[in-house]
Amino acid sequence: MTASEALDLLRPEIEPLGGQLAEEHGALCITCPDDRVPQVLRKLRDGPLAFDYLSFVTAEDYPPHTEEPAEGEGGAPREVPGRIELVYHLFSLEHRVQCFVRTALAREAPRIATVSDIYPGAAWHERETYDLFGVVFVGHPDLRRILLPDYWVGHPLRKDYDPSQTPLVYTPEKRWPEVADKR
Amino acid sequence: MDGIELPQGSPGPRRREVELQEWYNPLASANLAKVPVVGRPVLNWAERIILSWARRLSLWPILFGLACCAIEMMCAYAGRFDLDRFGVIPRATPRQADVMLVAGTVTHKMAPRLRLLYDQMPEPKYVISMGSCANCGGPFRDGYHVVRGVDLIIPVDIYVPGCPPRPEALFQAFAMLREKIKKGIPPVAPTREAPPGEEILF
Repeated sequence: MTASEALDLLRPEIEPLGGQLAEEHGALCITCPDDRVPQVLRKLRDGPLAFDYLSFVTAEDYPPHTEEPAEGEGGAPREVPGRIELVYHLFSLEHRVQCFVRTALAREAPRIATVSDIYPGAAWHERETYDLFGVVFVGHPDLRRILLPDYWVGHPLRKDYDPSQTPLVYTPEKRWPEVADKR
Repeated sequence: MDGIELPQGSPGPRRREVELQEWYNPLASANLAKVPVVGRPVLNWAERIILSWARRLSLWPILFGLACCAIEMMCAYAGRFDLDRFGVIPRATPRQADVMLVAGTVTHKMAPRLRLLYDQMPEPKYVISMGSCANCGGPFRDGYHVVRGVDLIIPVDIYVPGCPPRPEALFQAFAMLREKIKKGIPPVAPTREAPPGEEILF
């Protein structure tokens, strides 16, 4: 099944929920408001295309910036507020269709409902997204850091991450005492 | 365990990260200095020769493959190169190992585990740091998560340059280690002083 066929099939299901459908790079792309994500994913899983596999969940960080007006158009530069875009990659093993679900969150204290009750495999992906981007998944069974140590401060894949926030244990200034004079 | 002072509320087997971190905090760690040194009277020359011969022909490394260097390390153990014929037989536990072969990138999360395994190895113990990442952090040196050289955590005897080094380079590292033992040069590791009248075995 091609993406455009899938688009026609899913349009009556997703559009009432506020999702916008499009075709991107041969895959289906759905953009929806952040409070509708669990409903949209449930629809996709139980719908006609049966998206039964959540490949991964990740995020993109867009810090606030100033946008220059386009060529030929006048006007002052526009301030664009920062946002974090969450991306859910879904795959239908039966129909061989890929689908992205995108949603934008406020960059300050991003929060969204978890989908780990719909796709249990999302639990670790959401932990990783929390670890590296600081997105809080409300209702997640075990929202801890997964890749970085627990003492870590900050979320390293955010554009404004300051590496000096975390007091590192092993640096040239702070070695193991017995190693200090042995280099 | 006499002489070893564990911190208050000693952590159980399922230690959390933070407790591990506390235990292995280099600024607060005076635990190692209190481990009693087991020594024996000075060896005569014949005993030394036999000991050195046995030791240098059976260098058992603990497996520590962390990244792509581990692939070259596996290659060195496998049929074409066959490191086993030099008596270098990989062990899966630190209790049976003489050499720690750090092959790959050491992250800050891995570092306490690496140190823990190193501390569990019996002496005399040697460390080979394989590849740029273990030597100095390599291409990830400026990353937020990589320790800039494994020698910040454990003392290193031999550095193998390369990204990753070929198996031949690893062979040379073991050859150099053999030469070192043959010459009677002690490993970089021991920093504990033997009690008067006794000597640590090398």
